[in-house]
Amino acid sequence: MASSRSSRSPKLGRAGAQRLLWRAGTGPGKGDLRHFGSMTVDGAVDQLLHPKKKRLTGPAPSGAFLVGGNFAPADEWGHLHLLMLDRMVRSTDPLGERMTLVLHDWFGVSQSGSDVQHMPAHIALLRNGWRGSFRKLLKRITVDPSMLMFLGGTSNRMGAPNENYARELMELFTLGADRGAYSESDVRELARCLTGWRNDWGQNAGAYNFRFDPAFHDAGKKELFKGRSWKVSGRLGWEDAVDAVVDHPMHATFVAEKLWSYFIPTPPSPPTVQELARTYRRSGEHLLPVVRAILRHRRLHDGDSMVIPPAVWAAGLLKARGRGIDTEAWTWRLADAGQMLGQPPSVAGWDDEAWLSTSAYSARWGIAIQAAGVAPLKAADYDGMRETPSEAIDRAIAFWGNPEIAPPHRKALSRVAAHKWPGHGPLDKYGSEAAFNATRQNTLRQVLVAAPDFQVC
Amino acid sequence: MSHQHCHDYARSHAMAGAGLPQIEPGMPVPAGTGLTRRSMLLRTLGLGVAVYGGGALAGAQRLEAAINDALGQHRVVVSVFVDGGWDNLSLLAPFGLEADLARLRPNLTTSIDRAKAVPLDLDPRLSWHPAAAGLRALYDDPAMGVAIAPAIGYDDANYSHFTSRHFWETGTTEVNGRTGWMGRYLDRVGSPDVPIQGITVGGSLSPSLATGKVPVSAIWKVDGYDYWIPGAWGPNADAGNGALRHLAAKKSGDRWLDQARLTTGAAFGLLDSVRATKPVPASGAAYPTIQSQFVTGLRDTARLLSTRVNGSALPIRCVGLRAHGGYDTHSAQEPSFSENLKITADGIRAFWQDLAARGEDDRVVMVVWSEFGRRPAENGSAGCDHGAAGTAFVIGRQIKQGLIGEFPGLQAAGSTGSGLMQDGNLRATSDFRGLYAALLEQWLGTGADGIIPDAAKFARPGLI
Repeated sequence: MASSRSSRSPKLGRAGAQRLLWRAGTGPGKGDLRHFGSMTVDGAVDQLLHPKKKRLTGPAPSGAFLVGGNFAPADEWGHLHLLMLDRMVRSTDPLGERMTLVLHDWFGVSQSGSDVQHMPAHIALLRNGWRGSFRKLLKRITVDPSMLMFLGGTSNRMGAPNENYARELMELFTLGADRGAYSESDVRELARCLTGWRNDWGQNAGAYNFRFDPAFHDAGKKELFKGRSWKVSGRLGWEDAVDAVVDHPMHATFVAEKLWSYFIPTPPSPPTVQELARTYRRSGEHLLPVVRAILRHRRLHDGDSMVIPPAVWAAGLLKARGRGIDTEAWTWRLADAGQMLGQPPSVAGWDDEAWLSTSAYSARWGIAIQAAGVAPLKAADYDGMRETPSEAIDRAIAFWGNPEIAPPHRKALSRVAAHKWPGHGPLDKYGSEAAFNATRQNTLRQVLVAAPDFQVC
Repeated sequence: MSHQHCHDYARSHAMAGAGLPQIEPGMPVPAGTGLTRRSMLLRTLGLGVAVYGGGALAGAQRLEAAINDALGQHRVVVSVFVDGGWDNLSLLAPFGLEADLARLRPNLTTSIDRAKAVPLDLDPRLSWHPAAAGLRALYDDPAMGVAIAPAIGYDDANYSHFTSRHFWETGTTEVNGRTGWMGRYLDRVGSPDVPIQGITVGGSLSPSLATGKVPVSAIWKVDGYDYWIPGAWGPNADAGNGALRHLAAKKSGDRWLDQARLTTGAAFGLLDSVRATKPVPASGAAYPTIQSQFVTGLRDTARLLSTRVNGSALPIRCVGLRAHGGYDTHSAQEPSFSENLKITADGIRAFWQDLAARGEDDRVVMVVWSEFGRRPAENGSAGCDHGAAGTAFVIGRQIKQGLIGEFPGLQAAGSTGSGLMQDGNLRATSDFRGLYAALLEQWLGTGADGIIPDAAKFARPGLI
C-alpha cells in the first residue's frame, strides 16, 4: 500500500525539481534542487503556487546605469526590462514572476506602441492580478492605459470605430482564431461596444487622464454572435463586451489550451482540455487552479523537453552564480536572444520558435559569458594544483550551482576534459600544466551552459 | 541541336558535381579583361554564343543555371516581409479615382503630398507615394524590372495579422502548416550541411525559411559572429568547439532537444561559412544611415552574396528579411507610415545599387510583400483597419516590368466590376500562391508541385 501511495506522489528528485523550476519558475537558485527535490510533485507545486513570503532576496542591482540606486522604468530606456529581470532573479515568488511573463506574452503590450511611463503599472497589473479572477483582470486590462494606447482603445469612438482591440480581444486574448468562435461582423460589433474611452495629451505629461466619456460611446444596439445560442444583444458597453467573450462557450477551452502551451510543449488531449476547462469554469474563471492542474500533470514531468525562454535562462544563470543585475548589457543581450521584456515582438507575444535560431544561439553564447561574471582563470589560479578530468568537470558544474547534467551532456564535457597536458615539449601550446588546466576549465564552464542540452528542460 | 548538345555537356560535367575542367578553384578573375568569372567560364567552354546568343531559350537557361550551381552561384530569392499590413491605398494611391477617394478616404488621402505623387504609367489611376521614391527609382531604371501586384491576396481573406502572415510565409492557406514555402524549396534542392543556404540577416529566422529537413540559419550581423570562449585557446578551445558539434549531431527523439541540437550544429556550420567572408569595400550604394536591422540585413546580404571562397560563392539560395518599421496603422498613420516606407524603399534601392556594383544583381530576385492590404474606408482615428488584397513587388534585373493582375477599382460591392467586396475590402486579382509558383518555375527552375499545395489551381504571372 505504501508503495502504491508513493508511486502516486513520488518525490520529485533533483532532476524533477530542475525541470519544474525551469518550467514554472526562473530556474533553480541556491539549495533549490535539494529543497524541492525532497518534496512530492503536489507539495512542490503548492509551494510554488502559495509561497510563504513574497519578497526580494539576493544581490541588489548595482551600477552606474541606475538612477539614484534604482531602476527608472518610466524614464530610462531598458529599465523596465532590467527591473523585470531583477525580480525574476530575486523574487521568492518565482511562479508569480513566471506568470507575469506568461501574461505579458498573452496580452503582448509593448512599450513601443504605447507610452513607457504607463508600462510599470501594466506589468504590475499582470503580476498582482493573475491569482484572481481572469474576468476581472481582463476588465482591468481592457481599460489599462497601456492597452488603451497599444490597441487603439482611446481612438475607438462612436461613428468611427477602430477595430484593433476588439479583434485581438477575441483572436488572441479569449477565443482564438480559426476555431469558428466569431465572425467579422462580431469584430465590428464588439468594437462598437468598446467605444467611449479617451485620454488627453500633454507636452510633458504624455498620455494622461484616461477616462470613459459617454459622449464618445456608441450607445446604440449591438448584436454579438448573431445566430448562435450564446448571442448577446442590446445597448452593450465595454464591460458587457468583456463578459460576452468570457461567457462564450469556447472561451474556457481556449484558456485551457493556451495556458497549457506555456508549460508543456505537446498539445493536451481533448479530455484533458475539457477537464481543465471545467476546472476554470468551476473556479469562477480563475487561472490558478488550472495552473495547478497543469503543473501537476505527468506530461510535464515525464514528457518532452521545452525551450527555456531567453530571459528565464539568463535569470536562472544569474541565480546559479548568485549574481544580481549589475550591468545594463542585459538589455541588448536579451534583445539579441529574442526576448526584450516590455517589448514583445507583436501583440501575439513572443515566437518560441525564434528562440532557437542560430542568431538566438549566438546571443545565448554571449549571455553565458556575461553571466559567468568573473575574469577567466589564468595559470596562476592553478599554480601547484593538480586536477583530474573528472575533478575538472565537477568544478565546472559547481561553478554553475551544481545543476543536474544528463548523460549525453556530461559526455560532451568529458570529451573536453579528457584532453591532457602533453608535458613540456613541442606538443605543448600552453607553457605549463597550470595554464593548460586554466584554459581547460574556462572551456568547460562555457561548454556546460552553451550546450544545446542546457537550452531546454 | 547545338543547344541540346551544350546542355548535355553541362549536365554530365557540371551537374554531376565533377567540377569544370577549364576553371580551377581559386582562379582569379582575369585582371583588366572586364570579364566576370562566369562569362569567362562560358567563353572558355566555347558556349558564350550558345547562352547569350540563344537568348531566352530554355536549354540555354538551364545550362547557365547548371554552371552557376557548380560554382555555388545559385539563383537567389530575397523575401522582404512588410510587417503589419501596409496601406496599399497610400503606397499606390488611387488619385485617379477622385469620387471613390472622397467617399472612402476624405481625410487620410490629404496626408499625401499629391504634387509629389507620380502616376504609375502602367495604371495612371495609381500614383506612387512620395516616400516610395526608392521603389519608383528601381521601376524607372531601364536596367531593372519591377512587377507590381496591385491587388494580391487569396479568396476568403483572413483579417488576422498572424493567420494571414502565416499563409504567406507557408505558401498555403492551411492554418497548421509548419514549413515555409522557401523552406520546402530548400528541402528539395538544398544540402544537409550548409545552413547558409537559407538565411535571415539582421533578425530572427524568417518563417518562410522554416525547413523540414535541411538546416537554415539566422544572424544579426556578419561582423562579430563567432564562438569565442574567454580565456580559452588552442587544443582546449578546439575540444570545446568539437564537443559541442559532436553533441549537436546526436538525435534524442525529444523534439525540442533535437531542435536545440540542430540549431547548435547550424550555428557552427554558419560559422564555417561566415569565417570565410572578409570585409568588402563599400560599393558606393546609398543605404539609409539610420540604425535599422533591415538596412544591416540588406547590407550584409549583399556582402555575403559577393563573398568568394576559393573562387566559389557561398551557397546562398533564399534570404528572408523584414522591412523597416511596423505598418499596422490603425491610428495616426502619419508620419510613421511615410518614415518607415521611406527607409524600406530607400534601403531596397541601395541594396540593388550595391548588388549591381558587385556584379551580383543578375542572380537575385526580390519579392516584397505584406500580410494584407488595409481597409479602403478610413477609420475615425486617422488610420485604417485590416483589409484584404494588398500590394506586392517582384524586383530584379531579370524581371519583366508589368502588372500582376489589375487594380480592381474602388466601386462598392454590387455594381458591375466592383473592386470592393461585400465587407468593403479590396478584391484580390492575383493569388500569392500563383506568384510563388511562378518564382519557383520561372526563376528557380523547379516545379511548384510539392512546394505549393494545389499549385495547378493558380494562374502564374509571367515574371521573367
